[in-house]
Amino acid sequence: MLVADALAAPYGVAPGLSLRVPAGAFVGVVGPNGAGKSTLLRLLAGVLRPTAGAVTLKGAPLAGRPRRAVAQVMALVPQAGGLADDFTVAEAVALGRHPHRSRFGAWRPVDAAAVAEALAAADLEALRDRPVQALSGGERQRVLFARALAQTPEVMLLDEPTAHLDLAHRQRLLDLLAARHRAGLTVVCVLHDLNLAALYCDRLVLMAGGRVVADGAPTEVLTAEALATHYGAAVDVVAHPTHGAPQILARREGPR
Amino acid sequence: MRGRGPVWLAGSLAALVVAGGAALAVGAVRLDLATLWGALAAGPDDSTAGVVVWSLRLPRLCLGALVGASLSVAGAAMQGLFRNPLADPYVLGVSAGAALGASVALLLGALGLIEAVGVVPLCAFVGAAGATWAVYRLAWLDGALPLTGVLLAGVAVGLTLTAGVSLTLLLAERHAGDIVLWLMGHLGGSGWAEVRWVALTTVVGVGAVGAFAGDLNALLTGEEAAAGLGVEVDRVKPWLLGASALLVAGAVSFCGAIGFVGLVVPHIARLLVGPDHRWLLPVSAALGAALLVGADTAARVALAAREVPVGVVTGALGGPFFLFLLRRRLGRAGR
Repeated sequence: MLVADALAAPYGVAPGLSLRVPAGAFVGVVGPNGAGKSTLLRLLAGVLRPTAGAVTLKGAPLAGRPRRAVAQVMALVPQAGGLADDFTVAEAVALGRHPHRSRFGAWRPVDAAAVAEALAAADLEALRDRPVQALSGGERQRVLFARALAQTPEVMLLDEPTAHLDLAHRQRLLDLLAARHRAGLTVVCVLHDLNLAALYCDRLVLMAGGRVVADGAPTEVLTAEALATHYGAAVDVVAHPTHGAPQILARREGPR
Repeated sequence: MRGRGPVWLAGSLAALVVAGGAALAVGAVRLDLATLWGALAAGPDDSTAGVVVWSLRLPRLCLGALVGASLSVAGAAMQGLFRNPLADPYVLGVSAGAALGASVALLLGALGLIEAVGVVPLCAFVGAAGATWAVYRLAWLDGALPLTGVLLAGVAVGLTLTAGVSLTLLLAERHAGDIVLWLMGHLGGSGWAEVRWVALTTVVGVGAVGAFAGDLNALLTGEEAAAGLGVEVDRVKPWLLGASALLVAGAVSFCGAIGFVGLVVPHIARLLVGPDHRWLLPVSAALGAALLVGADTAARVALAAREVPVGVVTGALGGPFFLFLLRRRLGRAGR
């Protein structure tokens, strides 16, 4: 579905970066600060042009393709901030229809239906007429998510959608995302929270120093050794009592 | 969306009609409604009312409406593109270029070297185009136009050219008054020839900006998010900047740098119809036209002895109104 082949970028990642995302995958991108996660996402989204290599989406390279055509297939959820304050929630979500509308095209029933469905899927119906500036952090993230849904994409790229959210809001957003994934959406999501990443993603890509250093199922990637090497963190890895996914427990140094 | 767009667009157009009616009726020769209607229906003729309406007030009204619409649409585009409520049509340095071109022409005219009358708008337009070109050249980086660069280049070019204007004022000595009057912004002494030129730049410029109303909405979310929404950011920016520069150049070349219209009108329009540029741009155009026609009428009748340049009126009204808007906004943010 989405393939990065031997990419190089002006900053952030080491040359030769490659990644294959098959249709229907739920890929989590994890790694310490400065590992190049966001840069990889921006390269995949085509908002940052690679200096070498190519990104292909559904078999065709991104370079030289109209952004509109790309945005009809692939949506980007940027880090918090990609919202204009004066819009209402419904108006902000309606911007997701931009790639599907012609320059002077009217607002069609299909647009209205996509927005209504996105608002419902992101649990925002009650807030639809609220100005964006009056929302909490969790609600703003849901608006960004709903806007991406309104694009009716096949692939969604998310850059730390759970940053700055409390536990319940993180869980809620990822549950909503997982529901769309079950409905067929391909997901690439940068996540800071390793435990949630292990819980929701069926594949993790661990980045460090601008490279992919591990790529596989959460149990293969999130090992105590890998975390010690790449995060420099002393941790224990245990199995989640309910789901079996690997969960990270920090280890304290010295006596209490 | 909000559903208020059509209502306020109709309201703004009604305001323009009222302002236009007042502009035709009042002045040194006061025309009652029946006389005015008769003169309009009769077409251009040699009667007093015919001459007053068709040769003096109607072209001036049209020019005011076109310039008001141009500056307001350019202002709305700049505020949207830069995502900055303080942006106005003059941030690009275009007006400073026009001012220098015009003041050089007026200076040479005052010194008896050229016949200034017809040349001033041409020189102003050349100055505006030159300033736009300089800003583009300075800001262009690796095939893209970073907006911070555009802003800084606009300010730098503007300041440099304004220094040139000051120099012409110094050299013009006792003729400096003519230049100052031009710089203040004015609609007087204009005829149908001016109207035709400004109509051209207004129609082309407003059409070009309007074609990108949807992209401007997406750009309000930031360049990266807009790219993710399918906006060709690197192509849209130069296009919008160029169209705005054309609007400003057309307006300023004939009428001087009329202040505050392009800054304040988009804010009023935003209060009325919200941030959606599909409504914001047309409402700004209609409202800007109405406001400038109204302000010019006020400028004509305010002092019986002499006419006040309309730029003085818009500045005097616009400054306080802008402060009011700003305080309102700050008050809301602090709540």
